[in-house]
Amino acid sequence: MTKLPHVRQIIEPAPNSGAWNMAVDEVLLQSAIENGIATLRWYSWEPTASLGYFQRESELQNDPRLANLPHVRRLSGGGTLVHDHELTYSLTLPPSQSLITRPMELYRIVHQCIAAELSSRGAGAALRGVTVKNRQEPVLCFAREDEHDLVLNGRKVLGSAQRRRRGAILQHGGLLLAASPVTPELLGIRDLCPGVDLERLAESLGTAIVKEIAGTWENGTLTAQELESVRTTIADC
Amino acid sequence: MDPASLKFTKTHEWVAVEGDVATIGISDFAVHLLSDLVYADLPPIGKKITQGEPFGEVESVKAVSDLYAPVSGEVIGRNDALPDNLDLLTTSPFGGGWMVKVRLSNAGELSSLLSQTAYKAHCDAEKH
Repeated sequence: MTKLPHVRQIIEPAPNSGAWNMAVDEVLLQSAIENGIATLRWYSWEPTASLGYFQRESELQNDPRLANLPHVRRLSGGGTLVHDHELTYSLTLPPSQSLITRPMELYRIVHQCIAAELSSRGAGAALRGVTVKNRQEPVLCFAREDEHDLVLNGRKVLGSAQRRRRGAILQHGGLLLAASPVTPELLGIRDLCPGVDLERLAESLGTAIVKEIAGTWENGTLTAQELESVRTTIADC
Repeated sequence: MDPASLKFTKTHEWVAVEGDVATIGISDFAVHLLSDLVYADLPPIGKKITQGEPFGEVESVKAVSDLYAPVSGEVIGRNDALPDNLDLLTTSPFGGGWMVKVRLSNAGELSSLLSQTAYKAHCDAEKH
């Protein structure tokens, strides 16, 4: 892709609710569309299930493990995620981005950056490379197999999804740091590579990604107007 | 439908007009870009749609994309076979893959749409 002139990076210090996290991503997509702002955001969650945009609520209610979790709907597609011991990123690119006819390339770009950083820390992750389709896809995103998944010791530790709107792209994905007690069968990086150093992971992953996609970057925060839009978005839900 | 007789948008929707009714779908170029569609959500009969605003949504490869109305009007027909048979978009994007029929509220909007030749040039430019 042609590098963006500038990216703002936001690293959130503490876990937030699902409603807050998804409202922020929606507002950042709007900022990309209306103001041409590209943002890479890192965040974490209070334990929450998120549904893919087209998933039915009943899919959540049918699984007793998920039914009692707070839940939220993502703007993006794919299956249900249980956000617990997870580091999540969102990347919003404005309509001027150069991936208009090949937006799926963004999956590869971001995931390869994350794979390289994890590998440098001793957790040798790689893209899955092949998609395995099932007639009836599992409800959980991490039980599905897509070529862009990041895989560690044969287990999926990162999956991403997109929302495309008016030429802009919101891509977000969850990096599984450790298994959640809700879904203990989905192992995270610490389970698969005990002792791996995950200190300041968002900072180093962020640096790797922004260097790949932008000419310049800076750490920032939401603007006052964006914060107001987030509150309005949550209130409207 | 013969694509040469259609009008197009830069966001890859097509329109066929017969009297005051417009049939709307998405182009083969759009279907190729989206690839591997798994969901389509189309507006109900009676819904009023506005040129340039979203009228539906599709999901492909975990990506949800908006569909933009090429013309304004009221939805008077919907291809209910489509959501359960999205292959129609691949096999017949300008025929069996049609999405909605709309009674035009402003036929003047048609003049803002692209001919097939102009649309192809737009697609070529987007690819580079």
